[in-house]
Amino acid sequence: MSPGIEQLFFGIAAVVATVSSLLVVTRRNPIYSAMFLIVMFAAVSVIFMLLDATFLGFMQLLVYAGAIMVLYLFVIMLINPRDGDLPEESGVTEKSFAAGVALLIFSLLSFAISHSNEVERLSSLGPIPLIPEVSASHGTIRAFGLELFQKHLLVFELTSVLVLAGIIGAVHLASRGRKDGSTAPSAAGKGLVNTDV
Amino acid sequence: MTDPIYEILIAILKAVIIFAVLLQIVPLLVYFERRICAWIQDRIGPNRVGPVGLLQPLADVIKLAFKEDLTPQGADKWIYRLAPVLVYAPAVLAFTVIPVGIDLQVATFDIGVIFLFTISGFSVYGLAFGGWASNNKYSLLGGLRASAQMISYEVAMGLSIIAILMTAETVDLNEIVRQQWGAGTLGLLEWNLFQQPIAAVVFMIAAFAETNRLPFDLAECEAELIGGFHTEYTGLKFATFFMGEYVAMITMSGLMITLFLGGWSVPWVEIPTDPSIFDVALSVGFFTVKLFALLFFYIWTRWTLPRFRYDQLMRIGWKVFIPVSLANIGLTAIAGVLGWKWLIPLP
Repeated sequence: MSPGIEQLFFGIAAVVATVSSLLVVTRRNPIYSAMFLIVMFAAVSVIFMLLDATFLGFMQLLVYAGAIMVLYLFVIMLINPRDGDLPEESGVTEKSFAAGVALLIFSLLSFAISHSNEVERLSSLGPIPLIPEVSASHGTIRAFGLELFQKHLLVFELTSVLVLAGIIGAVHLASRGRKDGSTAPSAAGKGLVNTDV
Repeated sequence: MTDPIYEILIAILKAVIIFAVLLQIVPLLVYFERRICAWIQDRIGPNRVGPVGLLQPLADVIKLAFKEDLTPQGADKWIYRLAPVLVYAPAVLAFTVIPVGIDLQVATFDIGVIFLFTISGFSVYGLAFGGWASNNKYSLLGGLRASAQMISYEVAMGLSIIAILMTAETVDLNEIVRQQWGAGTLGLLEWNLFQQPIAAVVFMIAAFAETNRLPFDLAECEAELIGGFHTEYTGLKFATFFMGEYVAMITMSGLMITLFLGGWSVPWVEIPTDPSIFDVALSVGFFTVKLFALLFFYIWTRWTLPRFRYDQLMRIGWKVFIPVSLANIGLTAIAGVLGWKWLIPLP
């Protein structure tokens, strides 16, 4: 793809991601929030793909937009909020407090990013391109797997221990309420954990 | 091939052809379904409209198009309208990476399997949103069941695919097909169906669950839930749900053929390096024959087996299929390390 088209796609994806994440927090109905969160994940995965991280982009879609959001939706639908059930809109004080916290985090993050060593090193080399040049094999499964299982093996294994702990905890919670062992454990409880990788 | 305009035109042409063919197969499939079901139940089936009832799908489409399009009171209008599209679009989109002939697919992706698996999983949102937006408790239950069922069987299906990817050492669908080619009739043993029988069985059953077909159509389940997620839908919106279900069935069958049944490769004809039109047509024909055989299997199963109970569905999903496919991955890994060709030792 030519750089012009890439920048156009990047612009569209960035705008969609920003607008939909704004809509996630401003919609009153949680179903709409969940829907826009899915749109946001999809837009972010487009950005990953533009950065030649195709595999990572699809993992973002598969795991977050595909699996985790289904579980979110499952829980929201189980509660099934209708417009009448939703709580009152929060007051001006709470809103301004939330806006202040968001502004603080935003300024901290942008300060940290703009003053990081990596950015300073890159900007000393000349203007930073919107989409950096990488080798073609950079985002393939092979490159991803080698990086994950050689360089970051310890972190990977530690994460799996964390997930295992989560599964055991959830199985324990799900089985505690049952007096007799005859009925099957609740599908929702099991589904919630095992796919949350 | 050097001119980019030419390439774009070819890509658009391929997309349009595949879309049109998928759109045309659906009514044909509905007709076959009704005729085969009648045959299984010792009835006659639709045979009044046109020769042997072949125009029945057309009559059905006209009926659906002219039905009054109702939106139930209290329904969430936007999501209600969006839901059928969310079922139909992912199924069509996912089909684009399936190679239907020698290196012939709409979208060439080096990670075809993952693309297909990701996109086809999105159709669950159509069922869930449709069930929720209808403002009907049966629809909501159907949507809830659909989301729990899809997420459970997606895990089993993903794990069964992993075993295939381990032996194939690639995620390129064309390459997977090439590896399944073997000379002569004995070459059929190269199919992953025989190399990876456990994965094939788990995948097939998970495909039934993913496409909401009997014996796993718990999201519709007319005996308990009226029509499940599509209870409130009429006219063309209902038709879109319906078509989405059938296209998903075609897509899953296509993936099944590509991963386990040798894809487009013809076992008696060596894969040419520079295929002529005839070679491509032969491979497309062979793929189509397998596709219809598998679709017949879907229909046959539907009219033969009774529906599972919901707790049975979840129990076999989590307690049987997932452990079995995990064990299969372990076996495949051991066989791979020892250098065995899994299950059937071929020269």
